Amino acid sequence: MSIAGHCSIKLERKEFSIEADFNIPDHGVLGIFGHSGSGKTTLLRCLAGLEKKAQGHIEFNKQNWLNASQNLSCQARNIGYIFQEDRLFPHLSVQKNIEYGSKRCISGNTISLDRKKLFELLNINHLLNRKPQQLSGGEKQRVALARALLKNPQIMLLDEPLASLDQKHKQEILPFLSCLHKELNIPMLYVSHSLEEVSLLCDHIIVIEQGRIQFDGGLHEALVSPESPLAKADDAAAVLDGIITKQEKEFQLSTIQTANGNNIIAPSMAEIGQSVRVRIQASNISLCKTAISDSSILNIIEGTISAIVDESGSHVLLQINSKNDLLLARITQKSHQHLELAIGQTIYMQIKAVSIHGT
Amino acid sequence: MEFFPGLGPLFLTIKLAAITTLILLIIGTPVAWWLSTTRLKIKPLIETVVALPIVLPPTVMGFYLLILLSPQSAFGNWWFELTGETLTFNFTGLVFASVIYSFPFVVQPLQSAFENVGRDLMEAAHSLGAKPLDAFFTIAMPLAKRGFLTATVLGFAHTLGEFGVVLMVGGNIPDETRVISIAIYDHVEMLEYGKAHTLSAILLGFAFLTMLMMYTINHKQANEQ
Repeated sequence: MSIAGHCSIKLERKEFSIEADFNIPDHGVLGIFGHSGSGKTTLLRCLAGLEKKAQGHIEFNKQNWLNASQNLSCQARNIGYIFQEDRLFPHLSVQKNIEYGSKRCISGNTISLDRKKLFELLNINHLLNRKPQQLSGGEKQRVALARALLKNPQIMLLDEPLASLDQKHKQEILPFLSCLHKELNIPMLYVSHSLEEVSLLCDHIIVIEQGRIQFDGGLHEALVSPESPLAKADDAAAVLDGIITKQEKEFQLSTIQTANGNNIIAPSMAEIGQSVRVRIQASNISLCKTAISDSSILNIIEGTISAIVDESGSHVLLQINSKNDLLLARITQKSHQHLELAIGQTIYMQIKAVSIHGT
Repeated sequence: MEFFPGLGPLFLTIKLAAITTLILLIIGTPVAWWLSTTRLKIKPLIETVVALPIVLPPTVMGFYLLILLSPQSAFGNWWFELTGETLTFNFTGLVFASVIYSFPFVVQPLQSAFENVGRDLMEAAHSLGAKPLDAFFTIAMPLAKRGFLTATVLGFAHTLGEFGVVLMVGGNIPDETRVISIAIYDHVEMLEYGKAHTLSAILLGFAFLTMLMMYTINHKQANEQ
């Protein structure tokens, strides 16, 4: 990844401390993943200049944000911040809320967003004259996104923007975020405790626990390398990026072809030619030594076992390589012994199309 | 005042209350803001000092103010050197005393209004590029407008009804320090019940109307939100 900045932060609190050192990419989404209380929000607040007691060094786009002699104020850092709650100003209309940022944008920014296009993308044109109190949770977060983006920030910092929303509204915003990241040239830092959100949106990932970084690297590596903390999670999953090559309209199914030539059938989520990312959970893959043809399962993919991790308890986690696409499968000890699986062995993965999610 | 015989004390009182309220809003706003945002350990001490006039008997306040404002004290002497006027038994001295006496009635509603605005929205404003003063005037002040209304009404009304402190610091000089409450007391002392009635009724009506106006506006705004 090309780097736009570096961050090395130390913050001491009563019974809690943060010490983190990482690079900020110049584009794409950097996910900061951790459980609640791990310090990920505080880390983001340090980057935003909202923690006055932060120590260390932050440099971004050749500008010094934090060093021994100064802690640049939040308003002087050219950031866009999305809080967990929408934090819209209740006394201003949606339009005035959005203008609050754009009127104060720091001049000399290179990226200029097309306001019209953004309003369309976020679907907020019909909300402009309303007051924030008249909006639903999802609408509020979309307005907050527009407000932060039209300030023309050099970096977007998002603190669990979906945490306060219910599942329906989450599904409504996730595609917007994924679209934005493809449209924008600025980096995004995305804090979340949801492995699903992080794996669908991010390119790089930092895993943080008790204020310390446990893992820092590319998303695919983080998800599928057997040593990674994410592979140990209950909802461990691999993601595959691809392009929709075929659609069966009558079944609402799409075929997604990965760069390595694997074809995955999944519920339709976009149009032909569009690039999408699908998430395949380890527990949704079953294994078979021979390819069966009379199954309801649409995806039967051949691969080679590249790693086996004996998880404490009754499960075994397998990493399977199919044309260099890496997937994870979690099966029972019993099946593992029954099939006599070993590294290097050829195996067929069966993945139910309905279990595949994506953006 | 000759057009309205007997109403001189009323106009003097309104003038005193208006000037005092204006000064209180100017001084009280930053103090209330500081109190609502500070995390310093000294905060309860400052809050106590601000709240003292609520519980102190006006005569005690008046006594200390008399000492503070008299030309014998360092402050009174400094003022005398600066302006050639003493602060006791004149209008300026009354304004000084009233500002201190009514201070908590302005600071407390403002402080609680600012606390209700909270840090979250101010942070959002900063993240959108607003400097502290900018964020204060565009976010905190409009959101605390009910607090400003309450502070203005309470500051004004409380100054209007002041008696003990005025008697101690200002005395009873017509058109200078003879405010309405003192005039009423005088009329009663001289058994001029008619005149006492007129002034009392005006004050009662005025107090009733201002409070009614405040509660009506508050009620309306609460419903809007």
